[in-house]
Amino acid sequence: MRQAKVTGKTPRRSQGREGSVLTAAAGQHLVGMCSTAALWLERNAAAIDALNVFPVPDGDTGTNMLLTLRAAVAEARGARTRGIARAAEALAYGALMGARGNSGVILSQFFKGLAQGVRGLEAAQPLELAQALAEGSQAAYNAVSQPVEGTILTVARDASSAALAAARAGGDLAATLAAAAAEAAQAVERTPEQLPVLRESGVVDAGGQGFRVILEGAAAFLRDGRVRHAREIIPLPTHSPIARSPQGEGYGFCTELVVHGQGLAPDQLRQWLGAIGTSVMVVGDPAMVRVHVHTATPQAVVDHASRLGLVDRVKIEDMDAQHQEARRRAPPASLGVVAVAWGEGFAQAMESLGARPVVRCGETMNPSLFDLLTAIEDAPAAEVALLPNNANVMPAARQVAKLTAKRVFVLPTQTLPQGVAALLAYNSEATTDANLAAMEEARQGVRTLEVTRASRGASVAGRSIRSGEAISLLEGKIVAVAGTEEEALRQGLAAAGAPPADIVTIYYGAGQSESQTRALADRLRQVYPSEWEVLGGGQPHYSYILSLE
Amino acid sequence: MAIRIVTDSTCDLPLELTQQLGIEVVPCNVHFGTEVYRDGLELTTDEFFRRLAASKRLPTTSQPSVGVLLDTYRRAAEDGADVVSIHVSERLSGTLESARLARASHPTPDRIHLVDSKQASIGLGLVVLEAVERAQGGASAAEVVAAAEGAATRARIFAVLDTLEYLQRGGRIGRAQAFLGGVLKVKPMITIEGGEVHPLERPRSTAKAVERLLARVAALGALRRLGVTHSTVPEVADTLAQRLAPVVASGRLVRGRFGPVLGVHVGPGAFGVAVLPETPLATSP
Repeated sequence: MRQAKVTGKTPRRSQGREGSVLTAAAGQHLVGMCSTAALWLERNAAAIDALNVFPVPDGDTGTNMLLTLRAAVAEARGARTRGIARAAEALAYGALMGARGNSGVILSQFFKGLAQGVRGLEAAQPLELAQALAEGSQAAYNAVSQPVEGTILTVARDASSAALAAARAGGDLAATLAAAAAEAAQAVERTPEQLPVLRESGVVDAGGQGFRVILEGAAAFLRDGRVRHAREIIPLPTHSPIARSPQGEGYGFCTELVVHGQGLAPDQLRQWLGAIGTSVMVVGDPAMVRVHVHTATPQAVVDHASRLGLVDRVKIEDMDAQHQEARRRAPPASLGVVAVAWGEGFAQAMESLGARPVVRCGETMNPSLFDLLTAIEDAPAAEVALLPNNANVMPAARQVAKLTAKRVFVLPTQTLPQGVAALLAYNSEATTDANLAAMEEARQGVRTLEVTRASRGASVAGRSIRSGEAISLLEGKIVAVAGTEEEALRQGLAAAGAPPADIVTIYYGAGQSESQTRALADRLRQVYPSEWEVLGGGQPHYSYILSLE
Repeated sequence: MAIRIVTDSTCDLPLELTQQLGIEVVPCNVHFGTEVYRDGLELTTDEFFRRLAASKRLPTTSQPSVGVLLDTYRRAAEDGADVVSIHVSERLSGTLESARLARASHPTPDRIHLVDSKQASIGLGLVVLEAVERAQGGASAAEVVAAAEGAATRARIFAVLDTLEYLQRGGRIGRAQAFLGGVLKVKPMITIEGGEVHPLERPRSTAKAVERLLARVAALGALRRLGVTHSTVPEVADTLAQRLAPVVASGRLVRGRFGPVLGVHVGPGAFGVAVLPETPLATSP
């Protein structure tokens, strides 16, 4: 066991012109360091919470470390001891009892090691304190069954190494801690290089950042000789890696490219990118600009850039896929789904259910063979279910299956609601066979009622229809003709039987308003006690498309 | 030799039952900002869901501290008991990590046995009940551990959530990440398998979800135990319990409730069924 050089003596501050210099840290100094650290952590906890992505992105690392440190300080203050060994033991005990979360547990083990490092000492010289920091770091490593670099563990180790070097070079306590804090700040910046999940999320490690703030607080105490009010040293990130994906947009695409041109305006480009993405970086000059952005719509970035100049070195990476890979999560889906959609509402609904990509069609346009083939080649899977979602697309869908090396399964979805129903049954984790069976069953479990206006006069199945009359089609067959769309819809529902379904979803078309459709749904709810849901389909031609499930 | 069964408050077993069976339930913590509540002790489930509805910021959760676990193990040691400490899946929580540290600090670590249930909620509860039954039948600590580990490989919870939002915000969504219903109203059904959350299907209404849940349970073959749980929908849980009662021997169906800690992750409107089959299940889906 090491002996304190100043055993039995009260540690002194040598008087100097600038104030006092602390030569050895006693119990009250260690507690002061931790108290200041707690204040600093409190000031920065929200920013640290926002960084949290590893090991689970639950956004509470800063708060957990703060609560743990507060518990440690409360215990040590209660112990009212002047010896550093006793104070460190009290801190370790308080942290152990009050540890919250993974980061708190690691912090508590750090204090345990620190206490072992100063065991038997009344006060610690700079080198002794640095050695205790190193013991703390080692204890933190030992606490974790599978230590991961790029986390608080790395930051603590690097910081304690810097403290050892500073103390060996003759630095006083303040200089030793300042060196540790400075190195911690560097180490935090390095964490994205060490841990892929941080790199992909565009953040540094939250636990490491918390540890750095603790060291900064402790160093401030030693520098100033008293508990100091905290400084906010970490700005709140402009984007939160957690808040970024509230609607299941996932992590988006890391998109990089270079634009060559004349009179390029990096600032304007940065502003434009800021509106559609995060982690925006634009560097360069009027002749060449390098762009980095995380966005859900990488193609829009490429399109925009190609209007500005010549684009090259385009790199688009799916961060969802990387994210999952980094965590040894889902392998790529065995079966991908490509869906054809008319109307942005339908397209988004299908994307949100896992269709990649969705082929978007215009008013009269059916997708070309080329469109379908491109989509299938782009699908991130070797086996692809193709949802044509319209009887007219079926021939092209069958054709395209023969033109690609991928295995394509054409599900005979004849309407958009059938496509949505099939996608609801899609599970990217399930096998191809299980998916195809479930999707086909779901397709058959839904009926479609469409309401439109006749574009010309006709006689269908003995019924004469005048141009402009509202008609409703159940499963593609005309079941009602009426003067108004609402009347056609009501007759169509009557033809579907009562009650028509457990759940009726009304997708209103491009020309319809949401409020009027909701009012319509309220009136229909009086007649049919089904669950009614109103969504914007945005489809052309059809005022309403109803999904009857 | 006496055996003390220890678990954590994510087991969602009713208090009367754990007290009656002598199960030590170590509380996890729920945080509203910097306010910390010990699950079940300082915050009841009803209070929690009231606050959840009113709180702008989503509460978070944390595992029991090492100290609390250590105290529990020490008390067992003072009573001369071996400990079998069965906890929520390590992939979802740091509780087992805390338990390992507590064991390392214990004077007789050889007498502390840790089991990863690879489950949560009432799925963990079923593994715990299986261990209790063996312990009460006079089995040795090693036999109880083997029974619990065996049950952990067979137990499975199926839960239907009102939204995946809570699971996603809490970071526990795992493979279900790409399973959000997006703009459509869906009642996502998930399971916990291999210790992680997996998506199963997306029924569009509670009524359909209940039918799908019952169909899944019916397809599992002979069941040794069943558990039914919910967060704020007792009427759905009642329906499930009534319809499932014939599936297991009497006294083998346990009713639970998602407590505050799991409530943070499943949110209101959730319900679920846990099964302990006689023989291991094939992997889903």
